Amino acid sequence: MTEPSSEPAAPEQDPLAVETELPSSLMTVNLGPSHPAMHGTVRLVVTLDGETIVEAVPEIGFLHRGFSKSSEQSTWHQVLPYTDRLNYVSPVLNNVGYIMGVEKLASVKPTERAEYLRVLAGEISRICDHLTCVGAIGLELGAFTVFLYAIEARELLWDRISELCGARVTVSWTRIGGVATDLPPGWEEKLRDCLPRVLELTDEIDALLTRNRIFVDRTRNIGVISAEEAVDWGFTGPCLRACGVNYDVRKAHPYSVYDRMDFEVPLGSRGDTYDRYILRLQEIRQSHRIVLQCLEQLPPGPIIIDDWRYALPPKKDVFTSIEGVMAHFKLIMEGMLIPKGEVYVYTEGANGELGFHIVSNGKGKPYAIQVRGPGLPILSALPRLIKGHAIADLIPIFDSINMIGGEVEQ
Amino acid sequence: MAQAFIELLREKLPDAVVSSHAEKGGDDVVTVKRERLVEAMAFLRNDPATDFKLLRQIAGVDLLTYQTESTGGASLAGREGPAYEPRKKSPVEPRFQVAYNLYSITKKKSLRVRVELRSEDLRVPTVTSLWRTADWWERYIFDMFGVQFEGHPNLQRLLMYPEFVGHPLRKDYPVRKRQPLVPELDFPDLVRGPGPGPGGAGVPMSQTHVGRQNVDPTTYD
Amino acid sequence: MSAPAKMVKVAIDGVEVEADARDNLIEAARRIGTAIPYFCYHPRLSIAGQCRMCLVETSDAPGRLVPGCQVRVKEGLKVVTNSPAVKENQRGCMEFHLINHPVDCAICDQSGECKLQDYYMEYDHQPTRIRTYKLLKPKREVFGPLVVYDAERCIMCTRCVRFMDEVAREPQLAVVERGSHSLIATFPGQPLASKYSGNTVDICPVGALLNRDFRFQSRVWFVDQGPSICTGCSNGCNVYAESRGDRIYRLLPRRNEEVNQVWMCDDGRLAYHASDEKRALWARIGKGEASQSVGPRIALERAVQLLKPLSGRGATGSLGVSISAQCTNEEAAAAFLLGGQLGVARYFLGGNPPGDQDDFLIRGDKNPNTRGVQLAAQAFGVKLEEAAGLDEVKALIGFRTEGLPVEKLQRLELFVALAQNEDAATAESEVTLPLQSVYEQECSLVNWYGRLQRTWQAVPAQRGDSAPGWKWAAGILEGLGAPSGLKSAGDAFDAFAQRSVHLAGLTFAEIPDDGYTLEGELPSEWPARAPRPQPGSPSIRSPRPDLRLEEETSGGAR
Repeated sequence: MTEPSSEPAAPEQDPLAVETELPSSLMTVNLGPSHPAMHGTVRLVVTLDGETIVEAVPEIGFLHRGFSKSSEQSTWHQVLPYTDRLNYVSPVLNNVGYIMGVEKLASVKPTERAEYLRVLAGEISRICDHLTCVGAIGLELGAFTVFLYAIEARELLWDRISELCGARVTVSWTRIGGVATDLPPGWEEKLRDCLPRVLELTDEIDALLTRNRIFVDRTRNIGVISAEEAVDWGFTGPCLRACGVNYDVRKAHPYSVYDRMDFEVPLGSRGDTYDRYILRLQEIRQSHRIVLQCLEQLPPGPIIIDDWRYALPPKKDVFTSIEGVMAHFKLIMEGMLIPKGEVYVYTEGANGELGFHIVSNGKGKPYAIQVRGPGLPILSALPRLIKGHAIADLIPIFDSINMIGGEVEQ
Repeated sequence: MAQAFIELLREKLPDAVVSSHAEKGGDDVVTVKRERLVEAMAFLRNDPATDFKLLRQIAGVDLLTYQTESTGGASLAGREGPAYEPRKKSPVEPRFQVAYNLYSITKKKSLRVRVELRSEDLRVPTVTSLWRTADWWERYIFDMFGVQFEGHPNLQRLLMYPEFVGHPLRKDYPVRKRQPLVPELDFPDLVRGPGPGPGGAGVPMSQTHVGRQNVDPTTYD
Repeated sequence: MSAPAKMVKVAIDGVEVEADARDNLIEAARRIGTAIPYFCYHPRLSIAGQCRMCLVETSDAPGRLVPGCQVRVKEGLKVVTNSPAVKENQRGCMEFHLINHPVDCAICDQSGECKLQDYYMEYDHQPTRIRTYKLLKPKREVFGPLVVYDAERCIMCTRCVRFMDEVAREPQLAVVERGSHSLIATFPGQPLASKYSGNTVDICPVGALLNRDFRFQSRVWFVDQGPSICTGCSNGCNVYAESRGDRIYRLLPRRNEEVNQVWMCDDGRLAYHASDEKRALWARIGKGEASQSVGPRIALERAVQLLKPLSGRGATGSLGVSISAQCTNEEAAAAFLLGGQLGVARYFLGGNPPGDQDDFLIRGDKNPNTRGVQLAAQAFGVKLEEAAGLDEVKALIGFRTEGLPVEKLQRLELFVALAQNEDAATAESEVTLPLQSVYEQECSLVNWYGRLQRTWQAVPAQRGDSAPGWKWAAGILEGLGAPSGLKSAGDAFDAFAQRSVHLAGLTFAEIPDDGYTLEGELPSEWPARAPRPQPGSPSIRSPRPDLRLEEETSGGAR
């Protein structure tokens, strides 16, 4: 103490005390757009103070493929493959949402069997989406087995989807007035066989994660948002329901045949990552209930309406009568002439309210379509969710919001 | 379905509302004046009778080719006109519409609030003070249509890269338009391959053209 | 049409419309955008009333349907076009028309612009009710050099018959047989050889009459349509050029009441072949065996290198410039600017030789811009000579090579050609610079009676290295050290208009879409049925009427 020191002498300094105030500066780290933790191509420029996130600026646009502009150049049915690629983890729900908007503009009601089939396939897609999200949360927190269980369950369901719709992901399955294909023979039995296995795997995941000390510590009270703030940020779907707000489009404004289905809407209370995870698990079980009810209530009948202004005529008419070939020709080349109008149609996508703002000018091509991807408002709130947390907490928060690049960036 | 709320808005702010109508499919639309937009939106959001706390989406529509866009080949009847009257083309104004899709979770009602803009005056006051989600939606509309949102904290492009020229969702933006190449940043320690640009092998681009006869590569452009 | 039209008020589907007293119900409904379907009616032909598709209800005839094409409007008339009776008639008419119609959509050219298809989807979208065979009739009958007829597809609207009778004034078509066996036919031994036969293809609502030149070439929904002007003769008919990729597939007439109404002649329809075939696409230096393709920069350098020593030799100079009457105004202006810089004293006028003419749309002068080139020459103060004078120059810059005698070119020391097509003349050129055709650029042309019309870029594709003539001339001028400042067709046109008393400083952007009549230049003699400018259409009167060009009616190129 009597030695001269270079530092300014501080009063009552204990030489054995550890320096608690390290001179440090903020560090800016770039996460993405190609990054294992970034689901899809999102860039996060994160400013860190040690390990604490001080500020985060997301940059998106890497997956913008011009959905709106492309759909203005395609006929109404040619837009369906574009919608597949919006939320590419649950594509049937995108198809259903879009086609419902077109049917509203055309004042066309699909057949009853088609309505049930849409709900059936839609709920299977929803289960697949939630399985992907839950599996990813587990994977990125170190529980690789959980991921494999989720993928196994998802594979079983995607096999059913590909048997029904013809493709695993790029389904383009709905049509104006109905759906494209009916249940193949034996499909119902196969579905009933694989659903218990899916539930079994879900229960396994539940058992592995829900009361797991590590998992709970890493997700409890992480990324908390209050209900009011969530609504202000535009949250919908599981992220909003985790805050306790009971808004599910299937219950609030039942569309298709959801009013005939008996299911519950799970609600969280804290609005943290853990609640978002639990919610998704429970929604899988509720969707499973809906799937079984659909199978029971499924009526026989045609899967598409018989109106040649919107639905293609059967091939025997196309090849033998002038009316059939003209209808087929005009529908393919010019598109269905959907009457003028503007509609905002909203359905419950896997991540929240999936909305399509569709404008028609009476022609065979949409005039304007803009997608309300549920992930966009949630992603815009990401800086708010992660501020103040450690950088390691970024991972579970980002997983739990389940941002799908396709629907955010169109 | 939300007609009652439109009526409430009309009562409270009578000169803000320009018109309202119900679209097929059950949508209710009210058009308000651009100058009174923030007032009207604040009323719709904060008043307990309407309680539109969820701003779902801000959508934009460019009406430039609404009447003239067609599909398929040219229809003959479109070319036949009366023998004694010349055709006149009238400009389309107001050209842009910005539509705010609102939802009230407590009242379970949807409403669309629309603002009409002329192409020479593309400005709208921001509603980010009312809904935080409007931030990115307004950036999206700015990016795609070029509408300036006055008072926005950070009005930059959202999806397109900063050097992008033009506004893609406008109807006069051609689908196959090529963008100018963004000039390369010149990093001195970068090793490059063939092609034009600093430090490259300088192979001229015209070597790739086909169809020329008797080309002498030493003198060719 | 000097007196203002008398207007009457009618109500169509409850909407009040102010219609011209000459309107029939179809035209009155068209004013508010209500479409009454029709097959046999055409606004410019006599009324047939055969197809029965336009039947509507009116207050004058309650409980009955009247044909909308025949009934004229009168004050206070109420018309209903969407009642159940009208709809049932429309549906029934469509069904009748389709009973014997062959299942040809997959191979019929009219697909995509067929009235049967459009009206079927809109007014009758029911499956067929017939369970028997359709009537078989002759197919693929060649009527004439441009037209082929398919009798099964014909719905006997007789538009073609009436057109040939009334508009083309050559009644070469008639209806033969009776009932469902009716056909359209030409007189035995006399083909449909009228020069206007292509218009019957345009007005045929179905795929019965088809254009042999366009048949099976492309589907109509693949082609881009762009407005332009026909380059076949000096009438300057407004056209649409339909192209896909870098090839034009057909020309269709565009409506311009004062030039061609909605018709065009067959030669004009085939005029696009010059833009597609044997094009000079790449710049070339050297003649014969020594010729090689080069890039534009090197070609320009060589041209400047060859022209520089010959420039500025005054009136006895040996350099001449030849301008074809096919050149656009911008090319002519740039040519004169270039000639001025090089000190050229001899200017020659080339062009296609004259051909036959008639009293309707076909002019004898087979060049689209003779008038324009002459006006440009007057504006720049030069005199245009005949090609015979080529003996007296030793070097020549040719702006478009039509009409240049090849023997005279062979005797020249130097020939620099700006050419659209490769022909015998470009084989003699030391430097060939490829030109864009009229369909590929924005330009302006002046037709036989002095109407200034502009084109747009109708073919979007860039073909080879071809560029507008003014651009090459600007390149040469820059190489000579005298930059011209020409950056667009508008600049070249403005350079012309500022010097011309006839155009009095008009700018390119100000040219109306439909054209601008130069009033001082209207000929006194007019072919009997050629469309003429209407009073009130945009026109400009020269402040110096004493500077009129000599009268050209429909005579030759010079």
